[in-house]
Amino acid sequence: MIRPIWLIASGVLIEAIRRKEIYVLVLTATLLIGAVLTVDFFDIEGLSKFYREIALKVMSYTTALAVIVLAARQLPREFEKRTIYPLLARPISRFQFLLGKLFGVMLSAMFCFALFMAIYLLGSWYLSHGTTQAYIGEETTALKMAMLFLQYVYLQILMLLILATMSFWLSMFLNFDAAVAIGAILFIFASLFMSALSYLYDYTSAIGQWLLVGLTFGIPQLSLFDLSDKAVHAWDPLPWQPVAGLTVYALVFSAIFFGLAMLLFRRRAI
Amino acid sequence: MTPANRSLYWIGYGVFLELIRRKDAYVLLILMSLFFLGTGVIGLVGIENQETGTFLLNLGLTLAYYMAHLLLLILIVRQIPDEIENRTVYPLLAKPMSRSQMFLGKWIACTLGGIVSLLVLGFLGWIPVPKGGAYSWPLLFQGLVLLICSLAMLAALAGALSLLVPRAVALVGLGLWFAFGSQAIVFLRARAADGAPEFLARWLTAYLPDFGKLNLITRYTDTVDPQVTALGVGEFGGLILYAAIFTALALVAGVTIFNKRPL
Amino acid sequence: MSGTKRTTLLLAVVAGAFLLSPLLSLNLNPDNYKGGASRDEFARQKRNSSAVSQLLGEFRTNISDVLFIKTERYLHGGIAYETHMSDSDLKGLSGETAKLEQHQAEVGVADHEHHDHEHEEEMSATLIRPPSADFRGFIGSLQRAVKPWQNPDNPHIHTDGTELLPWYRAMTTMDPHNVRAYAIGSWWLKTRNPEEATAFIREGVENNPDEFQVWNTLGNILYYRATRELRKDEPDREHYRELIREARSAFETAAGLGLDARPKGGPTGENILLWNDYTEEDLRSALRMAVLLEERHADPAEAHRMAVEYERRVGGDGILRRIIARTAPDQEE
Repeated sequence: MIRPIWLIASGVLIEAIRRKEIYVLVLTATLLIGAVLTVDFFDIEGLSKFYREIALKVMSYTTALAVIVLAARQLPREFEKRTIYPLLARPISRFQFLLGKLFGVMLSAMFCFALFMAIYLLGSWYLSHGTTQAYIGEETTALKMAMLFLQYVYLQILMLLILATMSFWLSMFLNFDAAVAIGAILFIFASLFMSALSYLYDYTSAIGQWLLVGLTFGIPQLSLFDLSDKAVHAWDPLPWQPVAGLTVYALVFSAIFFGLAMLLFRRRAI
Repeated sequence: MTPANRSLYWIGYGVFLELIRRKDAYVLLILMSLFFLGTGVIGLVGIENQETGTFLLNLGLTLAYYMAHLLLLILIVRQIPDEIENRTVYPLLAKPMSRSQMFLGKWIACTLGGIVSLLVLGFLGWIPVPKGGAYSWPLLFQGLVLLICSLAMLAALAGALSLLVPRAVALVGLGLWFAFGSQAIVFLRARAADGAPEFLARWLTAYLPDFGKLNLITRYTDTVDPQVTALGVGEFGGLILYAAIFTALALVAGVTIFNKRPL
Repeated sequence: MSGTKRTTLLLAVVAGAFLLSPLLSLNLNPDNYKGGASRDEFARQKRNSSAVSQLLGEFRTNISDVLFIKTERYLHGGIAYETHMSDSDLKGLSGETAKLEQHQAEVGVADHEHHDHEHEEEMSATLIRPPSADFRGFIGSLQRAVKPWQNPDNPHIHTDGTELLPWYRAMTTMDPHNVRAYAIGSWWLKTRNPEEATAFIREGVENNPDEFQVWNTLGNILYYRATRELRKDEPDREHYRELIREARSAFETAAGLGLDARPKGGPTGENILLWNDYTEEDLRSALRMAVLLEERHADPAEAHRMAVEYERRVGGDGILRRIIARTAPDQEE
């Protein structure tokens, strides 16, 4: 069961690593983050919110867009290039095939994220003039910040899982550009959608309110996975309950999207 | 119709057919529905004052500006590389058509696609905000002309770049340059001013295409303040010439690369 | 002309035009214009307190608006509050810096972030709904946990705004004509690093030599440095006098430019689009400082002449009238 999934997954990962896109993305993002570091901080030490805010946003946007593109092209390309036939001729089910693809995309996302993480931490170290102590303050604060940062990374990965499964599903019935466009819109405007759905409630009729409730629960609220505001303003880490809640929320949506993608994949004549 | 014109017509027709066949228009429809959604929300919440109206007008037009350019970019970066990869370039070139004509035809067709997207989305962003004669019509006209120049310039640059680097790299690279290039130029000048001679830095960075110069959206929405007026004829003409120089250079480069490239 | 020759000629023309293009492009700056709703303080404050803006959250296309939102968030530990503003709340630069002054005094200027301070006067709602008014069940709870939020009934958390400085630096690099960013940025900087603050606002003056607001801010910062010098255990009197001299000159320049820019009649009728109450407030502040410094540190007779001239042009200024009365030649005798 595991071996064929790993085989497919490693294929996706190797392709992602070999292709130049990820490096172009990482390089461009690094240049952006590097430019932030050259901003004149007026010789005042400890000004790190600006850096944290821009760097976390750049990392999040770049990885999310990379995952959307990577996931949306997996299945259509296999069909287009007819490489799916030899794959499915092996003793591998379509479910295993799709799961393998998902693992591959997620591994690639984590590879991309790991590259960023190294750059981000290097930048933080540089800003603190080489001493972590100056950057994050006392030991307890340092621990809290590290914890919050880990939670930020974990929630981002959950969000990427939703995006990847959603892109699989969309790519089964839309063309590549349309699937990417919808995924990107949902991600880029996530925060706007969430605040608009909440804000409009008081302006609408009873039917409108039902519609808003439906949309609030029916669309994955990706903004919930963005912990960057708390990370920037150095709040305390989240307690375990919301983290567990978000894990369940992400798994439910991912399972739904994966199931829908699987349904269309199964029906598709090869 | 001369044979050369006929070739260009067929290329344009081919790109249009591809638009329909590949369902590229879906993306435009998705973006249009986003604008309709926004209009509905504005209708629900209401526009309280002129300042908010101006802000929404700026937002709508800016979104239309970015989306139209992005659509154009997506469309053009794959035109020739796809034809080469799928080997559909041979039957095309077997017709009485040179590579230069093919490149120019693709450029014209994609630019027209971008213009249509800009007009449709721009109209959707412009229409929901009450104007009351507050904004300058001449500046709206100038802005529109320069945005069309901007689309032509981006199409030419992307077409040439797609022959040199992989499609995705051309897309990401030019997309980011289009979005942040102006700021990057200002940033580079500011950095260089500290050390290297300022004049040299300004001169060298002027060779980088600056799309921000061709975007008059904020100036247009600023005309609610009577101090802000339309561009003078000289400056307006200068900006058109600026776009024309970069466009011509990119077209010449694109045609040269395509002509020398083994298929 | 043969095809090859034509092609060569075309190539030469295009290459030549490109090589010379900086001559053209360096003289084309369509963004370089005076005024405009996007830079107008009054318009900015009004549009950012509208319902649509609350709905859009941090989604903005304008640099000034981004700075406005960042300031609001950074001063409240990242918590997003609704911005309610009546016309009487609208402020000019001097009014805004006075408000920030109060904020910093409450936080304790020298402190770093998370030196939380509570105060009771503001009770505006958070953009994220509180549990009692939320229809979104567990989604609302998750949002309140993930985003910076506290119950709006609690006093606001107030945090130091020094972390805003890199934003101001970046914004002025992107838009060197953003006068407000220079003025507020140098204000934030002045307590931390007065020399850097002076250098920053001087850069603003260099990029916007015709804007009276930047000259006014330069005067204020130099005056601040002068008073700071005087408070030292062993003040450098010469340095103090030099700073006062420079401040006086900056205020005088601000007064001259401001009076030239001010439409006849000040902030009335149609003029309001060009010159509102808040611009007027900033100009009057510059006029008074120019006269006061002239009176105390230079020539009272000249101060009298200036005050009379300024009062003639703006009218109805109580402070200027008092200065006129006390510097009148018969008073001196």
